[in-house]
Amino acid sequence: MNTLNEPPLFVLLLDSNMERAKIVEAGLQGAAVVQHVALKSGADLLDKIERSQPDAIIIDCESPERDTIENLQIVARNNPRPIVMFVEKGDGALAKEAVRAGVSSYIVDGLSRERVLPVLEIAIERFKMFNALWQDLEKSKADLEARKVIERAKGLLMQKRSLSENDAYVAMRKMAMKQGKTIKEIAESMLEVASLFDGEGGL
Amino acid sequence: MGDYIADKLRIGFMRLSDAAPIIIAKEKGFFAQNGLDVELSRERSWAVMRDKLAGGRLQAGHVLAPMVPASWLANTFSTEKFVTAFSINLNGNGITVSKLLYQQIQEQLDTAPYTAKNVAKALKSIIRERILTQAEALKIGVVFPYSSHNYAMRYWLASEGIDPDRDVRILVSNPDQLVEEMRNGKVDVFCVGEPWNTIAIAEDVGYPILRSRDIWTHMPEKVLAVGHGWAQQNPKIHRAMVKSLLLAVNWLTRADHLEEAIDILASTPYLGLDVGVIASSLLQRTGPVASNIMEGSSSLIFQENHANFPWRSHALWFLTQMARWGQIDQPIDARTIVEHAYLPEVYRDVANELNIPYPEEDYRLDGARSNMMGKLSDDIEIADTTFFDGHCFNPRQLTSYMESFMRHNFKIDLQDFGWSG
Repeated sequence: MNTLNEPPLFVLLLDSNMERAKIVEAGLQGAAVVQHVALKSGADLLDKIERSQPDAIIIDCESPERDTIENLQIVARNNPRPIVMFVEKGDGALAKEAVRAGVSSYIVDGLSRERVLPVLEIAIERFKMFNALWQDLEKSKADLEARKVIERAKGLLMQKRSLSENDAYVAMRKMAMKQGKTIKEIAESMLEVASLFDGEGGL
Repeated sequence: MGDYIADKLRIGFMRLSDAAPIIIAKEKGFFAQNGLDVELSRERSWAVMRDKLAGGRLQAGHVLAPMVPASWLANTFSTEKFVTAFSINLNGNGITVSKLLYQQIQEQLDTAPYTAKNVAKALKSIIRERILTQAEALKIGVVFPYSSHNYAMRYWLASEGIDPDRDVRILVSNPDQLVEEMRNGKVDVFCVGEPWNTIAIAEDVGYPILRSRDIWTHMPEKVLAVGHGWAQQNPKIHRAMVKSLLLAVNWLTRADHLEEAIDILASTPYLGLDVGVIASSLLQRTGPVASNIMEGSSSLIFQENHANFPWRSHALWFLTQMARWGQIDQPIDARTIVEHAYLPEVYRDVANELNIPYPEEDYRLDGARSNMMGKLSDDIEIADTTFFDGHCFNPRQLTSYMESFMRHNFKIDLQDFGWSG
C-alpha cells in the first residue's frame, strides 16, 4: 500500500492496552508509521488529531463508550479521516452508532496481527469512496442552485429587454467574462439589483 | 595523489562551526583521496554564496538547506537551480537575546523553566506591552530570508499568536555581524549558527536562551549544494564530493580527533576565531551556566541519526513555510521541486559504497513519535523528532497541515501548492 518514494502512511493508534497496541504495530510494520496514544479524554482525542494530522485512526478498545462515539462524530465533521474500530466486546446498537458517527470499519472480537493491514486498507478505500460520493453530492447541490439563479436572471433579462433566451444567456456570459466573474455571480447581482427597483426579480 | 579526476573545484563556506565537514575534508585530505582538487573559499554572506554558486564561480557550497528548494521557485531568488545529495548537519542554531531583554524575560518567567513555550509567552507579553505603549517594535535578526533561522523563529513566535510580520521587525544580517548589531542596539534578538551565540555570551553582549533543537529536535540545517545543471553533467565528481564529506564526518565525530578539528576550524583561513569559542560550540555543552541559561550550546549533529541523509520531507517542510510567510506568490509544483532538488538516491549510492547504513525511505514524519516505517539498509535506530508545540508534519495531509497554522501570510491558494498527498 506504500512505496518508499512516497511519504509513509501515518496511523494514529488510540488504545489503553499496551499488548493490543503491539499487535497493531506488528501488523503494520513496514507498511505505515504508527503512533500510539493512550485513549484519554475526548477533548484530548480531538486535540491530538488536530496536531498530528494522521492519515487514518485506529481505535482498539475493550468496549467503546458513548463518549468516544460522540467525539468521533465531531472528528468526522471537522477533520474527516478513515477510522477503524477494533472492539473486544460490543453490542449491535453501538456498532450502528459508530458507523453513523463516521467509523469506516467496526470489527468485534477480531484483532489479529494478520488482519490489521487488510482491514485498514479497506477502511481507507471505503472512506475515499464515501468522501468522493459526498463531494459529488455537494457539487451537484451547488450546481443545481447555480442553475436556478441563472434561470431566474435570464428570465428577468428576457422580460425586461425582450431578448430571446439564447441572447439573454449570451449577454450574461459576456458580462461574466468582462468582469472576471462566474455567470452565477452575475446572475446573483442582477437579481439583487432588480429586487431594489421592484419586487419582481427578487428571490 | 596527483591523479585528479577533475579540474580545480571551488567550494564556498561561511564562518560557522557547521562548515567543519567541508574544512576537514580539505585539511585531512578526503577530497584529494577521492580525486578532487579543492580550493575552499570563505564567503561573507548567504546572498554572495548564492550568486557565486549560481554564476559558476563556486562549484559547490555550504548552504542553508531552504536555499535549495527556494532556487526552484519562479521568483527572482536565484538564476540557477540548486540540488543537494548531502545534508551537512542537524541543529546548531541558537536564539540569543540582549541583556536588557533577558532581564525582562526573567521578570516575566519568574521561576518557570526556560522552555520554548514559556519563553515565547514571556516575549508575547513584552511585545504586547511595547505595542500598547507605542514603543519601538522588537527587532529580530536572522541570517537570510530563506533560512531555517527565519522559519524556526517565525514558527516559534507564531505558536503563541505573535504575528512575525506585524508585531515584530525581522531583519537580515550576516552571521558574523549579528553580535555587533546586538552590541549597537540594532537587534534585540537574533537567531544564528554557532559559534556566534557562544561569542555573544563570551563578549557579554547577550544570552543564548534557546537552541533550534528546542523548537524542532533535529532541525535540518546546512546542506552541500551544487547547481542542477552541473550535477547532471558531473555525476562522478558530485558523488566523489559526497563520499569525501561522508568520510570527513566520520573522522570529525571521533572523540580523539576533536582537539585537532577545533584547531583547524579556529585557524585563520577558516573561521579565524578563538580556539576556546570553537571548542565550546563543538563540544555540545548543555548545562546551564547561570540560572537556566544555556551556555552557547547547540547540540550540533554531524552524523548520528542519518544527519547526512537528504530527506525529501525536509525540503517539503521548508516549502510549506515559504508559502506560509508569503515567499511563494504563484502556483508551484511542490512535488517536482522536492523530487528534483533533493537527491536521496545519490546519497544511497555513495553510502552503499562505503557500507554506511541509510534509510530506504525518501520521506519521514517529523513530530511523530515513530517517524519511519522502519525501512533501513541496516538495523539501526533512528531517533524521534518533535516540534515543541506537539504538531506533526505529515506530508500526506499537507493541506490540512497548512490550514492548521495559526498565523500565516499565504499568497497562494493551498490548492495551488502542487502536492497531492
